[in-house]
Amino acid sequence: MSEPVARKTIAVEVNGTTYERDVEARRLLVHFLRDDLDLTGTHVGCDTGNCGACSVIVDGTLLKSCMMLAIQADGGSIETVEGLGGDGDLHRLQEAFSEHHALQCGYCTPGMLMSAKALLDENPEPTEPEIRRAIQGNICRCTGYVNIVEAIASAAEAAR
Amino acid sequence: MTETVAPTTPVVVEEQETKPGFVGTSIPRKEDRRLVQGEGVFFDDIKRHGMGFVHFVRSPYAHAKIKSIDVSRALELGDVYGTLTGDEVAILTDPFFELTVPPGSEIKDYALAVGKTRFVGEPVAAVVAATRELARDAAELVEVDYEPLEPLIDAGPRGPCADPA
Ligand code: FES
Ligand code: FES
Repeated sequence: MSEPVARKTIAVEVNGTTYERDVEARRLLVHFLRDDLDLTGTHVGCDTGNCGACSVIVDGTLLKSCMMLAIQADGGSIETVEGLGGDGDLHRLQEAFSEHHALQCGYCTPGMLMSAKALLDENPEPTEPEIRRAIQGNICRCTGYVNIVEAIASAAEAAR
Repeated sequence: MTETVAPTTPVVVEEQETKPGFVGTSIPRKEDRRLVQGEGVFFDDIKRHGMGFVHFVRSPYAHAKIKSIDVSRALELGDVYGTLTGDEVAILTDPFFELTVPPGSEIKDYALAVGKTRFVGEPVAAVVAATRELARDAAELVEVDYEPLEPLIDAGPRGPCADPA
């Protein structure tokens, strides 16, 4: 059996850029993104896997980044809210959220957007129940979900 | 004699009142663009040079008396900036303003548990250190001596509220 490591140098691709950092083994992926890479668009709402504010896409799978260690992402490729859309252009989901008033304070929004992105990547024509299921792991404390569901539906529509 | 006033032209109030304005119109919000791009700067997103990270020591009891808190071992760790206990909070601050009527308004509520804990997870002490991990390690060195009390686990009439604590 090998000795457990206390820290490790990891290489992770985030939104197309590869970052190499020395991290403590117990560092959470969300803290790696926010503290080590300064990508503070991914939020911490609960630290306990309940709220979804920290949702990111790791190797194509939607994950709550407070539920994963940074070292588990070694060699992986991550998409965060900062990588949605191109230079100065908004992703159609970002446009739709704004148009449909799907955000108020914006704290849950990055997580909502990533859940919606993961849904549309897999299922470009979701039904309303499918949209609702896709964001069931995301809590919004202020906007309410109706406009968020409408925004995602309209972004899917726009892509057709 | 009663005087009356007659307008020279008919009085129209609706015209002004229903003039197109903000009411009934969707106004694009100025802040949306940065918020949907993850560029909103929330409190937790702010970093300062030499900034510390806080970790809370929390109560494992639903109801208990706090007999003593010993932070000395936590303070011995290098790069621990400081600690704060409920007693210090009670000395340094006023209780929170209670937005209600008696007896609720008589509750003395502070940022940390003072003298007693009233739910599992209630913060009883805070430790600030140079890193998140160090703050967590130091918080584990804080020793709290509790005397467990009977918890109240269901809501219901308990007679006159003699002791709101
Ligand atoms: S911070 Fe990860 S689910 Fe709430
Ligand atoms: S917009 Fe405020 S929590 Fe969802």
